[in-house]
Amino acid sequence: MAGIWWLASYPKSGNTWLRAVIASLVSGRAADINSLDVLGSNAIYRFGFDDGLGIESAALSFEQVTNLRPRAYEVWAAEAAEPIYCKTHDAYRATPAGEPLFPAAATRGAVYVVRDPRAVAVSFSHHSARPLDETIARMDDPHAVFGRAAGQLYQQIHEQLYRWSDHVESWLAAPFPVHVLRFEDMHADPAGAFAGVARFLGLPCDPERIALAVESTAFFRLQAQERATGFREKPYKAEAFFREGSVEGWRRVLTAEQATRIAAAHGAVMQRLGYDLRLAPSGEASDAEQRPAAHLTA
Amino acid sequence: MTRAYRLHGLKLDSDFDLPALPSWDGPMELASDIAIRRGTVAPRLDRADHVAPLFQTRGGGEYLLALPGTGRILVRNGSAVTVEPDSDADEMTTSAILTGPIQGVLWHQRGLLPLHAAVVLIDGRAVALCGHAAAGKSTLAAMLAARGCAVIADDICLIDGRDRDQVSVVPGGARLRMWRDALDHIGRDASALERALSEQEAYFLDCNGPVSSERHKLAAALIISRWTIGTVGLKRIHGVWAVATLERFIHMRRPAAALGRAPHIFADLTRLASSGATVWRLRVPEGAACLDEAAATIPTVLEA
Repeated sequence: MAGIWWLASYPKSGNTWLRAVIASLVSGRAADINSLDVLGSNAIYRFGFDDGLGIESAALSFEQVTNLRPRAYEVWAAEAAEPIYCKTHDAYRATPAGEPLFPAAATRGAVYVVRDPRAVAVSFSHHSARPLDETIARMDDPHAVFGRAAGQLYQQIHEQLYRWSDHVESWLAAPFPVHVLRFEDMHADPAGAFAGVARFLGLPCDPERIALAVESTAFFRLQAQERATGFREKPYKAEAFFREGSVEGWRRVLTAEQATRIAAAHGAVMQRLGYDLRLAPSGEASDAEQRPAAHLTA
Repeated sequence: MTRAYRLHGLKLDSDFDLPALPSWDGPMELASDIAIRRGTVAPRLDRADHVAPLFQTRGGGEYLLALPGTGRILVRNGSAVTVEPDSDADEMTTSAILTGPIQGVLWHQRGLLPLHAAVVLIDGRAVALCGHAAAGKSTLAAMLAARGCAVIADDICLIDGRDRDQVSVVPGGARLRMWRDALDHIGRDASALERALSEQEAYFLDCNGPVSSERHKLAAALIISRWTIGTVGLKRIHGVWAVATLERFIHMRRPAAALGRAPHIFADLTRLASSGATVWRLRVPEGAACLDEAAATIPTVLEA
């Protein structure tokens, strides 16, 4: 069985960048942001669920849909001629019926992309067009969901995020091979980070192919593609999907209080992943400490 | 209590409420074409020749759906449906399953072709709005109804290709199932409408009066594409690509394949495409303004 590689992350952590990298590694061509579905379906693609199971998810309760997702993934895995790469923002979790949402029998493994939650908060706030404080609270909400509203039918099935820390820990404890990739390491050493991904996934990792993936997925190139053609995964209300992509940009945006609140809620997991909890990286007072930012603070 | 409904011209008797369907308005003494009964259903088909996670089939005439949280539903020969609900089954979900997936299976067993589409009459000509769930089929149909078009089917465009010389659309009803955000967009108050689902804010919207049983030739089929960028646009799809594209919009196509319908579907779609029906891709990016523009654009396909 070809099986499924899960490309997992909390939203706005670099998942789309990872998919672009893998698309380039698989194809040996420059990445095209509007052709990422050649890798495989999004794990919450409603038509993939409906067509795979021969049912209509729109008629079912949210609980029924979640309980049936493992069956859909088993069908996808059984019918795939090649390994498929499925993006997901779900936490690794059990369905209400008590079985793993991502069934081991259909799974080859997962790449889990993680990003400093302070940077995630800023990016997620722009992505959702919601105030920063609301976003920070959402990242600390054990019941947080993504893409679920009773009054609207989405083309995607809803995802359960949990708290940011719980999301990370859930995937680190998944019972199959998980390659953890820090967004910050993709930035600092893309060639090394992408080669590690290629080795984990069993993809070609010769220097030429890695160099092409690095070159064609540079943030400014993804940004330029979005400006030129648009990006069909951009939320309607977001101004741009590839907005800033920075590692340290949160220091200009978050107030000291906001950054401290995130660190207080998620400090243990942040430290486990090597994130510095101090506001200023070198002991100096950061911008955030010097002046509170009014931007997006509602 | 048994209720009688009109299902694309047939008399359907049901032990279950099916508010998506119009009530039967013909002679009550007429024998039913389809009967949905409450009863005992075995957990699996004897000597099934296709077993999928949720359904099993045997030959072209037997289909069993085993849906946890709803129950087991056996469909035989396009006419007999037996339902054994789970103890915790939700009535509205059961009803939606019967008028959705089970209806699709009934048509496949009867040798008809259900497309996943709403159908409107524009200047008296039938236009199918095809799309997967959440594409905006019903929303666009409601918007066209507001412009004076008649809605003649929601969610299933039933094509009868059994007469090789005359492929026709069998009309259904004018009742659309719509989510609250779509109703808000067209300025309809959801609180005044009958609820279609328990957990989700979906409602029934009646667009026009009773639909006549007169069959129509399909003038055009539009594939609604929301997973898109750029602006609203129409593009004609020709020949074999039209057939291949429509095949992705067969209602319940996986159960249909298990029932052995694939070759018949291909033949029906080929006849449909060669009967004069034009096929188009309608690109509709996200956003209310794009829906408005798309609704205004749709009638232009009849000028081709």
